[in-house]
Amino acid sequence: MKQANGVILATVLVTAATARAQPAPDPAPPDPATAAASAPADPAPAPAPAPAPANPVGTFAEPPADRPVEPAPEPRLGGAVDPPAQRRPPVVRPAFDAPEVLRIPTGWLLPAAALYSTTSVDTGGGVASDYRVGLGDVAEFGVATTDQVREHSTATDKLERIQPYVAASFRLGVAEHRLFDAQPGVTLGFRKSFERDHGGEKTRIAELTLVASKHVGTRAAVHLGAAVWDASLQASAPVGAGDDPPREYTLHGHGYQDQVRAFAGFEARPLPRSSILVDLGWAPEFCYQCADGDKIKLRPELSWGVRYEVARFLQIESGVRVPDIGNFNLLDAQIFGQLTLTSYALRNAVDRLK
Amino acid sequence: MRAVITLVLAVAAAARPAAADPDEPRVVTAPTAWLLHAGERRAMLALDHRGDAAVIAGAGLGELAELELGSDADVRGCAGCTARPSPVALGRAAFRIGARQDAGFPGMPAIVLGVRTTFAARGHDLGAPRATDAYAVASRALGVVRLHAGLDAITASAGGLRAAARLVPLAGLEIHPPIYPRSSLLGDLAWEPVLDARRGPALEWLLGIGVRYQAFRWASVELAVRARQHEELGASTVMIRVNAIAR
Repeated sequence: MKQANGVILATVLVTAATARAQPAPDPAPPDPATAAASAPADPAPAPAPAPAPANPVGTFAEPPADRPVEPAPEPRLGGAVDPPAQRRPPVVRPAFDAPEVLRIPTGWLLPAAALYSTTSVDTGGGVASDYRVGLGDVAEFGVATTDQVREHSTATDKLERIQPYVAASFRLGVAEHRLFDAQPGVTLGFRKSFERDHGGEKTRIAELTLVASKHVGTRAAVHLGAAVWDASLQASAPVGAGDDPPREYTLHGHGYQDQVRAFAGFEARPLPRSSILVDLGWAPEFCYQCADGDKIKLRPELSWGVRYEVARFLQIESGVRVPDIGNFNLLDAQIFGQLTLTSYALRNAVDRLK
Repeated sequence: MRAVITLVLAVAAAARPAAADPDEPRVVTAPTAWLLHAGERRAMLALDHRGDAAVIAGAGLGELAELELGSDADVRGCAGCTARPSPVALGRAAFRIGARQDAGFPGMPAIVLGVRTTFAARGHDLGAPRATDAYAVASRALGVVRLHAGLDAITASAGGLRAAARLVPLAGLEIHPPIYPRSSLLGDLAWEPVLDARRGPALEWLLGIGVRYQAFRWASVELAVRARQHEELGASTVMIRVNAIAR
């Protein structure tokens, strides 16, 4: 009997382990009368949906509307079927415009809760990262490490980067076409660095920008803006008791003509996934041993390159930067590569919580 | 000379344009205006009879541009230049943006604007050598010949001495004899800096001739000779180069 019980138990276990559930019964065919009664009176076919317009220049592609459908749950043992999960239909997020051309800000803001990050390296050894989040469709906040700030001891020395140079940014503005048809996107941005102690000198930078961006057709866009810069430089060497602290040199100490600069950018999209980008911006440099009026200067920086949209969430940018285009200094030209990632994950998570 | 020019013009006029752009970014030394397609990758490995090597990899970017990264020893340098300048191994990166042939109008040559710069140097005592050039080059395939012409602005520094950018011409010619469909004859004129750490950088021209054999659709082999302006003909460099492309 024990042997028989063992055999029965083993058979049951093996059968249970290898058994697959029965397929769900086919749904009953619809009653022709009921079907006819519920059919619409007008059998005219619905109009075909209009084709989606191509992404205009400067925009990142929309998330896919045709997401893969998850397979239906397999029926449970005994033929019962799990009730269908209450899934919301996928939300198609709007396309959004890049908040930067290559170096200069644009008049376009990130959508609410959209995440944006970009990381770049160049042949001059510069590494920069920028992380931003959109706030309520009217603002964005970001933290970045920039490789734009440079230093040298004397005017004849080669300029070296100070990096990492961490800065926080906040921008607010009005989206393009929001107030009237021809209105460009406008943003007011403020960027301020944390104090950086490097080589016995403490430095800081700050930048207030106002920029307008406008699409010209669907394949081009222009950006125009103005920036008010400020920066400070102070020796960080310890001073004795009773001594005066080292003098702090600032950019605003020399008048507005040294602080206010115009910048501009241009984008063209000759191919559906590729854009040509050009911008002219400014970057600060510190000269520790120079005369008072030359310790902090702004230098024009020209960049051009290509943005290639590899996937909906990933762009690769590459191009050339000439950090001192004012002197036509070709020798300092740098080739850069940049990865940009965009995501609506935070937005989706927020929506799921609602 | 007139006969040669007449022959070249007659061949160019009678030749038909190629169906698609070729993909080699340089003739022997001079750059071409051919760009990689989006997602394509290319690698080049070269070795000359003096043992100097070059390795360059490139990738197409969005049908509009390409990025190159690598190292070569085309630039020569010397601390005092009492002897013949020696090759300086330099890390190099290049960004090239342009348009393909016939992109704007029928008969339009391919056009590329490129910038190439150095980012690392090793095995020298030249004091932070650097070399950068920006060029515009046009290329056109005309049946059995491919013509390349352009201008190059070159600047360099060594030992703390910097040379102002100087504009020089670029030229290249490829001939594809119909009886040898896999072979090309190459010839070009290009310029490279000579980094004299005491007197400052100068430029010298390079004349290159060679043969390219397209062994596979994805790989070719080149044998070339390069002569430099300040070297005797007997000091010319013989090199072998392998190109591979992944589509």
